[in-house]
Amino acid sequence: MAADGAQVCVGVEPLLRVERLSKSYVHRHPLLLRQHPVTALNGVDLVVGHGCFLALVGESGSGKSTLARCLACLERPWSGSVWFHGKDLVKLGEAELRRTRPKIQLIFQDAATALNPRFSALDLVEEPLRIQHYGSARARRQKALEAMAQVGLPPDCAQRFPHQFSGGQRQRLAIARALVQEPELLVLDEALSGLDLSLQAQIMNILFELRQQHALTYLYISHDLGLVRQVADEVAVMDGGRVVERASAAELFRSPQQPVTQALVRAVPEIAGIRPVAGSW
Amino acid sequence: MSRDRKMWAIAAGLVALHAAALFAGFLAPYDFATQNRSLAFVPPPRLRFVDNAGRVRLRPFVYGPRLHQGSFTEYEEDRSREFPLRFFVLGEPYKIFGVWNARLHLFGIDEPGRILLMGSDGFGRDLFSRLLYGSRISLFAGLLAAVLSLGIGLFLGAFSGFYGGWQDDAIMRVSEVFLALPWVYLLLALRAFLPLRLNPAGAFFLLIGVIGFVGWARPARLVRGVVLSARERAFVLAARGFGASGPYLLRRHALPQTFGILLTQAALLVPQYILAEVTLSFLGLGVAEPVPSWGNMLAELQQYHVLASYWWMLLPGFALVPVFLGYYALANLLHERVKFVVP
Amino acid sequence: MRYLVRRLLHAVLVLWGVSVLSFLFSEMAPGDYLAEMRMMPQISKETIAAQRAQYGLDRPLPIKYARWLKSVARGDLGYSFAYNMPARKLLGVRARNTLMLTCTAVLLSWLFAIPLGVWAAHHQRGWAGRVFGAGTSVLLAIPDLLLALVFLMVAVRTRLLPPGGMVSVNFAELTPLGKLQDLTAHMLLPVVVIVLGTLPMLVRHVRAAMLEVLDAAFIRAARGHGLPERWVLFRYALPAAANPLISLFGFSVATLLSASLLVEVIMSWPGLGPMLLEAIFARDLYLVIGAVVLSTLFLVAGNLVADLLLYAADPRIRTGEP
Repeated sequence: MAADGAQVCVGVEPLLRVERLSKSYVHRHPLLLRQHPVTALNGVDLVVGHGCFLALVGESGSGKSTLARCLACLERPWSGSVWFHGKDLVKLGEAELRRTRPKIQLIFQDAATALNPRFSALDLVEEPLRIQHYGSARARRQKALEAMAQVGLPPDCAQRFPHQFSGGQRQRLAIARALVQEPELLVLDEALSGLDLSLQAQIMNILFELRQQHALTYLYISHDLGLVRQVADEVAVMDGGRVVERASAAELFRSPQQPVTQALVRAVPEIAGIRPVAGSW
Repeated sequence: MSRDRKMWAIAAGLVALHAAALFAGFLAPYDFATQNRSLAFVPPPRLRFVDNAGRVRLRPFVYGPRLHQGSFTEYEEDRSREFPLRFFVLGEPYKIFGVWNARLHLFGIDEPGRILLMGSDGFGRDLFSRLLYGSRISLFAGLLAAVLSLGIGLFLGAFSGFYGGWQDDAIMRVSEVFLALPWVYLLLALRAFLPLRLNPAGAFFLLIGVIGFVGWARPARLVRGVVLSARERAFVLAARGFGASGPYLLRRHALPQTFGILLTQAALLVPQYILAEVTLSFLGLGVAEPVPSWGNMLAELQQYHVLASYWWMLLPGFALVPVFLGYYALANLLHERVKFVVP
Repeated sequence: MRYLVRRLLHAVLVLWGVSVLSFLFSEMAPGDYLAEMRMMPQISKETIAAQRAQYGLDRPLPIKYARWLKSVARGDLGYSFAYNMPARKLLGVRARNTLMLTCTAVLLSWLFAIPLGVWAAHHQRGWAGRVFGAGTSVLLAIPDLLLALVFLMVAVRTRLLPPGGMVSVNFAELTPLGKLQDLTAHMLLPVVVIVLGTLPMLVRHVRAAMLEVLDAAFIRAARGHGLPERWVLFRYALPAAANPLISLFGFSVATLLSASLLVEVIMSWPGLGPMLLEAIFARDLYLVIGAVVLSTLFLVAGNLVADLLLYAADPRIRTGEP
């Protein structure tokens, strides 16, 4: 349960430490010299403990996705540090970065666009292994099929293409793809937002199982506080490119401190009687 | 017929056309260079099935041409001798693919007759044979030039779209200049500054080079567009997250998206390039005599008396129409098909 | 306003790029112009020396180009070695003749393309639409070269129209009206061929643009109000389809110029086309470059006109971010 899980995050050596991360986007008009800087991250400080299920919430435009990409090393921040295993990811060179990348994986919101439609399911899950020159073709295939089994995709769908899967199955495929690299931190950027409630429940179950089996840590980015309330250990709130509040899930919903947090909490519709599948976690 | 079936049918037709060009030696009754000054500007004969006495023959035949009394240019049929059409005859020697010697032709008539299916030109050369031999030059020059253009366009467009930066800007500016020029003027200008008199092989490859070089801009811009949008896709970002390098991303994720567009472009460019070769040869800047190309075969029509009296000299021009129809139809079908492929 | 300035700047840059490109190409040419000139008996030694001095013919490329640019700024487009006279006079006359043809052809093709395209869009369903599709396909597949030769052959055989050239032999003695008639008779064939060559593509594009617009809600509303069909088509739908069509205008000028070169050569119309061809065979450097740059100038001007029209027609461009 969430309350118990909160114990995990307290007083543990952090897996990831973000210090004063900043990034702005500059919109360069081709012929004019005018530039409009848009600040996405404005000095973000964040600590993620081992095994924690940390939710990151905030309004649209608060910088959540940018942070996710910076953590996954898909974008470079302008200033600040991301400490992971004693190294600052921001300052790493390409070669070292390539070694670190498998450990932090990003799951995108829309699996349909995150999976190359021309690749078969097996190709997709094997791809990271191919890129990293892992073992023989057979070993790669084996590992890929194992990962797919763990997310509940049987081997006979290995040759199907993304458009032949349902939305939920596609997202599971994306998770399997991340799994083959034996990650330590999984960043989920609104990964369940497009799915119906039952599918969300299903995948949440899988995520919890995987967390047990592989000692994973999750950074779950969402604007859906209803879901966050039920699954997260801790919650961090972002506003205007900064983290403005951080507390365990129970505490945050009981007594939100910041005005923006209060607004978010108030906005959660209280739908009585609707619960995810009982006994799931 | 379903769209795919139509596409394959047209493609098969075009392949057959090109195959016919390659086997020009077999299909043509004569060589492209054999002259016969006494048979200059002979009109196409009538294939007949009924002879002088009114008997019907199963095998078609022709009458030889004879100069009209008192004229040096007008012909009439010489009914004194019939020349039945024979198939699989032995005739003038030729080389298959330039290697094997052969003498078998699809059809022909007995000596001293000459079957001039499309008439003859000013030197008494058989137009039909020259048309077939000429198709080798015209059709393949267009095809190879298109391959060249697409190759340059693919390379520059992919580089430009993927890596961006000042190289992208530079390449785009240059491509704009190329696109700004009316292409025929550009073609001529480029051709102008290269050697004017060349042996046929040299001329052929020079043509391919010039035509292909002139047209790189549009394919490059199209490829760049596709690569640019592919670069921003989530699945490319994801692959980068696995540690994929730039060339890998280009090769496995970005470039496969361009194949549909490239194929459609190819179907559009080939006929344009065939026309470019024909135009250049027509103007005297392409393949030179005696090697025939559909262009230089039409060049004789620039003389007034030829245009006025000898209509069959125009036939090589009409040969272009079915080729164009085929390629344009293919391009249309490809365009529709590419639109429906999962983006 | 900034939009127009930007487009003008762009046009100038393109012209400059073209001139540079032409000079680069010319440098690739084998042989030496000075040597070839010396071999031509009709050019005197003094002229050669003057040429060398003025145009820096034996200097490296950048200097040659700089000298040429300076001359162009003064209105001097170089010297024709074959004709032994300044290039400007030759090019001027030929350019005017080409303009005569292409302007007329542009006007006529758009004059026909718009109503035909609107009509085709309106009758899209049914046999008329299919006939239209087949007709344009066939016409598109007939190259200009063939069209020109066929028409010329017909003209020559029937003697209905003059077989080429721009004016008759007795032009100078004709009355002004007669002159006009003579010119029109000579222009008819080339213009018809050029128009027929570009019309199918234009009509198709107009039709496609109209079809896209005709689907819109405000069209259905207009029809629902009972407005006459012609009103709906021409006053409502057509202006909405104007944007892509105006862009097409610039493109059509390009195709027309290319088509005109071949038609001019075949029909002996004394325009830039035949001049370029002659100059190529005579290795007349400045004439070749002049012809290419002038033709590009016309194209760029055509595109600028399109930009102006777009500016006038689309309020978003007028008021939007420059």
